[in-house]
Amino acid sequence: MKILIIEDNIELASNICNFLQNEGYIISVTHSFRDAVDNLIDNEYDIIVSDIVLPDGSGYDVVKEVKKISSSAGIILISVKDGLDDKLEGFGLGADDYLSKPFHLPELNARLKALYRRKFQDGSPVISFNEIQINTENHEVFINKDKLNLTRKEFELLVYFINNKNRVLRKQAIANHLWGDYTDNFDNLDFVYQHIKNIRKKIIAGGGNDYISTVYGIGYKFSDS
Amino acid sequence: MKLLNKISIYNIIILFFLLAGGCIMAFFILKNRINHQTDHALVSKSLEIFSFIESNTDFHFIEKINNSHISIVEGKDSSYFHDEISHEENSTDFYNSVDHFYPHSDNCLWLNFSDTLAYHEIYHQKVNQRKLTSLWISKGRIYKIETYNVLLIPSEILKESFIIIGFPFLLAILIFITLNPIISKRIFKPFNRTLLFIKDFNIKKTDSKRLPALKIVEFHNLNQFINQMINKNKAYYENQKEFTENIAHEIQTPLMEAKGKMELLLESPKLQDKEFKQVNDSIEALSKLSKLTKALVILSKINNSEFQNRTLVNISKLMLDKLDDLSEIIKLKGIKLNHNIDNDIKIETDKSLIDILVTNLLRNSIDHNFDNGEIQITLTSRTLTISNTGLPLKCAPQEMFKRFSKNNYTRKSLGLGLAIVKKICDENGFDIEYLYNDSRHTLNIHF
Repeated sequence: MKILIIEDNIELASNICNFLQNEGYIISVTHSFRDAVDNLIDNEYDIIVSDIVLPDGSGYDVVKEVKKISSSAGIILISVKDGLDDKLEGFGLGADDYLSKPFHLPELNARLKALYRRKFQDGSPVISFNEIQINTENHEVFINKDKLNLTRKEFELLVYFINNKNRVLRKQAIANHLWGDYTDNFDNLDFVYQHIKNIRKKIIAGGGNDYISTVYGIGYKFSDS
Repeated sequence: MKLLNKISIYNIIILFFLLAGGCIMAFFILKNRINHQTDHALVSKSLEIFSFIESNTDFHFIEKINNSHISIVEGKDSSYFHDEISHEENSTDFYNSVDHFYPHSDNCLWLNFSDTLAYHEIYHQKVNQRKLTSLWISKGRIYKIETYNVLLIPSEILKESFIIIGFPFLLAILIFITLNPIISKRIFKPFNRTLLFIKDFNIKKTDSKRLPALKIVEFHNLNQFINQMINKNKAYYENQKEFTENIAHEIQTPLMEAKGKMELLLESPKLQDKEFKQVNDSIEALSKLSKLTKALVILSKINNSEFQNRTLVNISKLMLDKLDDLSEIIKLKGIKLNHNIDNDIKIETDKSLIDILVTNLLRNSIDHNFDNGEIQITLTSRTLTISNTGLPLKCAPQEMFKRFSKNNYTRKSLGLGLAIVKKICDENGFDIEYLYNDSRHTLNIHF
């Protein structure tokens, strides 16, 4: 996946860049609207991640520019503003997703993967990880051709794990991905543990391996090793 | 009461006193005039009678002609009228000079007007009459002529005056009543426009509409003053808005940077258990700061009237949608949910605010609940009640609405959730109360 990041804050851009490079994506970073436009002229990208507030323009200008040059890149806008009007304006112009700051980096990763799948993999909406096959269109999960009966949130959790495999996923990040703002600063995140226990049971009962491991006191990891 | 009507009432009271005074003046003037005319008539009549006597060479003495008495004062001289006549009963008017009435009369010696009660032949009763006693001299004889005329009774005159004056007064009142609405509408048109302008005023509108200059001084001053106030308020509002947005952005930026670095650190293969926890705790502290900033910004925005976009919101649907979103968490915690939500309860309010209110209440009822606890939700057109099991309060229930109230069992919760809920209720004029008994927390909102 080729990704262009447009973010004027250097540290933030660097954070995102480092994180996503570990996924094996090809990342370019620009810090202003002008630089971004110049970059877009010479390069094709799969997905563009742009801050709304730029020193010489806005994320909305980026969206307009992308549409103008008839690029088929997906666009994710990020911003401190999380008002409904701001989101609607973004979507109205043609952005594909909107993430409000502050966000967890794994969350951005999950959104990127989802967008990529939507845009560029129409024919094959299947994610596979070893014996696990996930059809993102009809939400069916198979382990070696046997169908697994997962609830909606269990399904979303599995997709999130696979998208962020080998990463340490904090309980808070998981809760935020599944239930958004509802679970911000919840005192008690034990229900996440319960959730994972359930999904683990179902996968093992369905004949799959247990790829989920607990990271001491803070979260979980989904990996092969 | 309408302004013009109040002014009219003052006018009518003044008019009333003026007209009452006029009425009294009219009475006296009329009385004087009428009396004067009567007196003239009496003198004419007396002269007529004297002429008749004088020209009548064969005068047979007649004591009465019509209503006039004639007597001969024989053998008397002018001292007679000094001593006796001038002391006559009810002598009110004493004209010193006969010349007042008859500049060329040599025969008339003396005139005396008085008011008496005398019998009237035609009315067959005693009535108030004006009497003229006159002394005439002819061929050496002195004749005393007493003539009478019926007076216009003062009460009659008063009644007439009253009607003369009362009629315009009533007419004036009638005109006020019918014309005032029309005049009021015309005169107060610019003022009413100003009132309408104020009513529709919304500080968030970015137009630069202001009130116009006017010819009427008071309304013009009012308009100018309001324009100034609008300018000041808009400036303050914009400042406040910008300040809040700047703060949010400036604080969130370094927070995000630090958080990002921490998240990357989490990936490091060299981390050990204890260090994992330290990194995680740092991320949580940074997250909490972020959320805190956001929550304070919301409170500030509400204060600055930035949430005034009122529409008809279907609270039932909102509640049910959110319960659906949260259904799995509720199940995971083993919480028993009972809800009694009436259909299509709609309220006119700002959608974002109500969204925050419901979200916060539901969050609290889940987060501060036991595993296998209970939640009870009731929604009617008048009330919203959310009740859940949970640990006892460490402070009085009302204290929970204050910011950062010390009831946290852990340090994770922001302490602003209920403060925001209360602020939103205040904005919308809802009453809210927090009740706690038997390990049940209940929040009641009255719309």
